[in-house]
Amino acid sequence: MNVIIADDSKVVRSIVEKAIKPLGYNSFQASHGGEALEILEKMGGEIGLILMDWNMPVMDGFDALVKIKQDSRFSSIPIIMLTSESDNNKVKMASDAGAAAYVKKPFTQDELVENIKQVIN
Amino acid sequence: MAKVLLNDCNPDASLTLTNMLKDNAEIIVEPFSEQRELTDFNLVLLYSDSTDDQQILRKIKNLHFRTKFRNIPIILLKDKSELFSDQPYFNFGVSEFMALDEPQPIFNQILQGYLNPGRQPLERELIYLTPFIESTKTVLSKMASMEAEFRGVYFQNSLRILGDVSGVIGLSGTTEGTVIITFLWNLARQVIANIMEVKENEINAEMIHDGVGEIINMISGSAKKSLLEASYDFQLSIPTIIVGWGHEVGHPDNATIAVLTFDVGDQAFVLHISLTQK
Repeated sequence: MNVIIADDSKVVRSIVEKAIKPLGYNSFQASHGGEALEILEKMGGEIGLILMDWNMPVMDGFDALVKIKQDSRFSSIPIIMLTSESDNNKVKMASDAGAAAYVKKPFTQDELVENIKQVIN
Repeated sequence: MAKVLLNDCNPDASLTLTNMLKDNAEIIVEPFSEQRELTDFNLVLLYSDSTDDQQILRKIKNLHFRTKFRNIPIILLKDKSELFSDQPYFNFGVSEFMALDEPQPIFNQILQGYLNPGRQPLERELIYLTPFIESTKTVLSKMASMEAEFRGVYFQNSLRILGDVSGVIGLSGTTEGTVIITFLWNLARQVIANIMEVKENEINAEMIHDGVGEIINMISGSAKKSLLEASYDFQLSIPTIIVGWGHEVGHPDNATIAVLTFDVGDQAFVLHISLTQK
């Protein structure tokens, strides 16, 4: 399965990539929401999951989540928000906008993988 | 009783200072040593009659390094006030420079001032500091498998930060403020290597900048939930990174700057936090 990892931190993208590699996933990296949308436009239906940070420059993860969920071509792709925002209002906003799960940073690789498995299964 | 270290003091300076401080401080007189543990001292005085400013600055930086960001003022002493040049002693960690030819009552008064213990955090300050202490420990533990031990808090007015790399997050909303994490280069490299699960020699400056930014982002984000419950409502900025010894970071006007020190093994890092409610 192809996965988009959208986070403005290279370090986070690297550890997420490392965490999902044993699952056999290929990752495509984006440093903000706009780049995630560009990858989606190119890859189309080949993307099976998006892991999205919230606070990013250019286009934040919430705006990207809303755009993707409003686009009938991509709306069925599960999106897991992966963010340091621990505020419950943000969790609700993400859920209302169609996020499949909300993983709070800091996370262990096991916690991330567990959340991914729950969403994919 | 306070503990004072006199470094490199000649016999005359040692005698003068010991007479001034002996009633309320334990005085240790030693030559400067790069290995000396300093964290149990309350004040360090470094005497120098050298005109080699680079050598003095190296000693000051080394002393500061060994205070592990604790509230341990370092005072540079010379014989005569005219011997001080315009070199950036403050940027390297000196709290004060003083000349032994200054009138003794004034000299004594300044030293006694440095021996006064700083104030403890107020209950209302602990309400917003505690979530940051907890989230800092959690982030280091979960992301880097490192145990950060909280060592204490003190308050400062200076905007200067004596460390190699800082991650800065601005808070805006009905609560405003700044949260800064500062590392020395070696510990920053170790932490990021642990987070990325690679060897330290694979870590470059860009990774450290990126990783330190992400760490302060996670610390602030994790603390936010508890702070919201305590009516501190704010949005987090995108983190920025500042590199270079003695850099300065702005805080809201009239904000108290709390300095939280942490140890990781035999190294240390520090958090500077200022919060004000509109």
